Amino acid sequence: MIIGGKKHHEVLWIALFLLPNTLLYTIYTIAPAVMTAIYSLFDWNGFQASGTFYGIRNYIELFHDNVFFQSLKATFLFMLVVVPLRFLISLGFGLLLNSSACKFRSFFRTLLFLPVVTTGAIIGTIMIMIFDPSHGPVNIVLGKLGVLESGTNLLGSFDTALYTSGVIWTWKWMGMSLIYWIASLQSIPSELYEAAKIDGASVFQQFFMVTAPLLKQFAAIIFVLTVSDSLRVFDLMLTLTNGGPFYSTETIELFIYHMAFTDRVPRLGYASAAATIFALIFCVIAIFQSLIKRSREEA
Amino acid sequence: MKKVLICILCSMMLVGTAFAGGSSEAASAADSNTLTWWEHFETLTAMNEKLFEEFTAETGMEVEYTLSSPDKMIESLLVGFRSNQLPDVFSLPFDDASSVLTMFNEGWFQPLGIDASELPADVAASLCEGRTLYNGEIYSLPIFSKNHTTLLFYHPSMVAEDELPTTYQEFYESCKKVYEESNGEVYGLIMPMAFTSRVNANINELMDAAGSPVLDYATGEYQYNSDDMKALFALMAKLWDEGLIHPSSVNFNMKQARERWAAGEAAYMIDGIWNVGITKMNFDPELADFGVTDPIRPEEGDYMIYDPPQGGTYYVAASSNHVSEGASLIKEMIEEDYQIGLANVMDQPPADLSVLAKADVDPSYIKGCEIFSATMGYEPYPALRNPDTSRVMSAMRTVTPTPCDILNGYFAGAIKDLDAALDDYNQKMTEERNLAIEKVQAEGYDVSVDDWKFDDFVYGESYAN
Repeated sequence: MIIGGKKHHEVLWIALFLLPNTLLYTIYTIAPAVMTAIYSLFDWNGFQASGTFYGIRNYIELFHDNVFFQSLKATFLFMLVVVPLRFLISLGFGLLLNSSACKFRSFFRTLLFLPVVTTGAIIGTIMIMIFDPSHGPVNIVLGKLGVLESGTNLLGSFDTALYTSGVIWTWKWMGMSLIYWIASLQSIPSELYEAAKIDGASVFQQFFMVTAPLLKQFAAIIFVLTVSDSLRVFDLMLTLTNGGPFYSTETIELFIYHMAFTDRVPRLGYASAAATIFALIFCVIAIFQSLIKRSREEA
Repeated sequence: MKKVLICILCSMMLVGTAFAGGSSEAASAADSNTLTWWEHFETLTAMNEKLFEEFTAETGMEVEYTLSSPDKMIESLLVGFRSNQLPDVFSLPFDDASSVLTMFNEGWFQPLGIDASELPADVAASLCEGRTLYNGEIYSLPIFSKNHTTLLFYHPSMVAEDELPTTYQEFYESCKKVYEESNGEVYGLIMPMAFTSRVNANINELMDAAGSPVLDYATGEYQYNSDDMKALFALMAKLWDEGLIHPSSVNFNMKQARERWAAGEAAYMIDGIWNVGITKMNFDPELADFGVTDPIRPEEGDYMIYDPPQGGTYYVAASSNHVSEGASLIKEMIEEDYQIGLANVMDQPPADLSVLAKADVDPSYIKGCEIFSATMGYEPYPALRNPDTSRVMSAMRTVTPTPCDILNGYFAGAIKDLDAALDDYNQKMTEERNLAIEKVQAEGYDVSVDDWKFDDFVYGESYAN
């Protein structure tokens, strides 16, 4: 028997290998997502064993909640700031550290990757000291250069906290994108560069005529991964600012956490409604990205 | 084909086994000869471990002890309750009477099975319906005595004892003097503004001390926008504008603020009495040189800070099979030996303050306890007069920005007009309570705004709830 061009026993083998992952994915990802959507329809004080059916009133309340909208704004503003930063800076380092002219490449790659393997909570705690307005090295250096006034609190100002957190996040996660870029760059055959050099192409021409076109597919994946990472910022922000000052860094994940666990009376239904809306927005972005990618491929 | 089927079955069994693990583990823990104990009092660890060792030697029952930070403790308890995996005994990292009453109504706890006649007379007399007693049965014991979070700690090397401030104006002048004499190296005040619930408690207690509790007991109305509240916020704004508050206060939690204060970066810090024990235990004795005094007020004179009657500390979970064992350990904590040990670690003040004379404690700890004894009273508490008001408190959503957020918003440059923000908060709180009352009334409970009105309350006197 042939199914989709494959023999029956081949299909069974495929099913076998997919089964454990499908089961685990269903139990750990799909089921919690469905349960979250169901919980969002309940008025559920965290101290209660179960909630009472509340319909869509949690959603209606969310649409009147200024802090929720502030958290959406902070989340997407954060994404808009950090995605280009991480994407471009890591590409720059990738090109540099992939070049045979660069000495101590392994050392620098390790150095740039170190923050990735350091927990966000530790980085948050250290960065509070580094950006301390009274004794932090960043303020001392920028103060001496005349860029900052004495006592300026970059993480404590409503106007600068989100951007400062963005710079720290970019530094922490840049190593991850760097690995992706280096792997992508190493997949380009060296013969193409040799041929370009023989044709008299400059370094910039080699980048724009050889590297960039061949990186396009990888770039799309790295971009999607970076966007996805930037929307899920949590532990770093929790220790760095805990959403403050005055909700300026309260990203949607922090909002959900605060509502579900640290509010005076935890509100599980309300937090679930916020999580559901965020998941829907995330899905829309993913579908939008996929459509753009497909239309470009077709073009 | 057979091979494929066998492999599929094996995969399903593997996954099934992985999930079966959780439930069997929970069941075995409940049936075992082990008492599980979760708590958040870090300073009590050594004492409690000793207590548990003695308990195990006497009864043969092991105690599985887990220490969490207060915020992690809340998360663990909420998840534990919903998954029926609460420990046998747990501490509550908050003492909000209405939340505890809600938990009682939802079946979190079970009675300890202790009779009041088994307890020392002073402990038995301190038990209160709605706090440690529910329907006449004892659910917890108060191992601590009443205290507040708004003591003013200072470094004697920076502020002379005879120059300690009492009023807002004196406090401002003292902070300014410290800052100027140190050429801007030492700030006047450090604050844990990221610890919102604590700073909100500080603000409420400072309003008690000012004679303007945030609830006007004569009318039952909120007064978060009273003249005294606005004066306090104006003082804080002035201190901030003149650079007298540590600039990192905007981001600090309590631990960070305490570390930087102990390191001498600021002269004053507002905290509870446990600051004595934590600072003495964790910092260099030279750095931990400090004193404690009364909270600041708008004017000189007597004052009072109000609290509900003392609540319980440890509770036995309704799901526990070890209620008598848990109760005997909790009971052990009100005995003199444990109370002396409690005083020795200088955390929360012991329920029996007479043990201070037998304990080895810092003079600042004794002074803090004396301040509490002289200046604290029981507040009129709606949930104690009409337990259904706890349903209103639970139904009330958190109104944001809270007073702490408003102040931090000013520090961060997001809020310019503090008075308007306080007016707005007061109005929103009133609206929120009215909505919650309507909701609870619709569920059939007899509650009204009048439940918050206490005509017989006299400021300066403790209220007999």
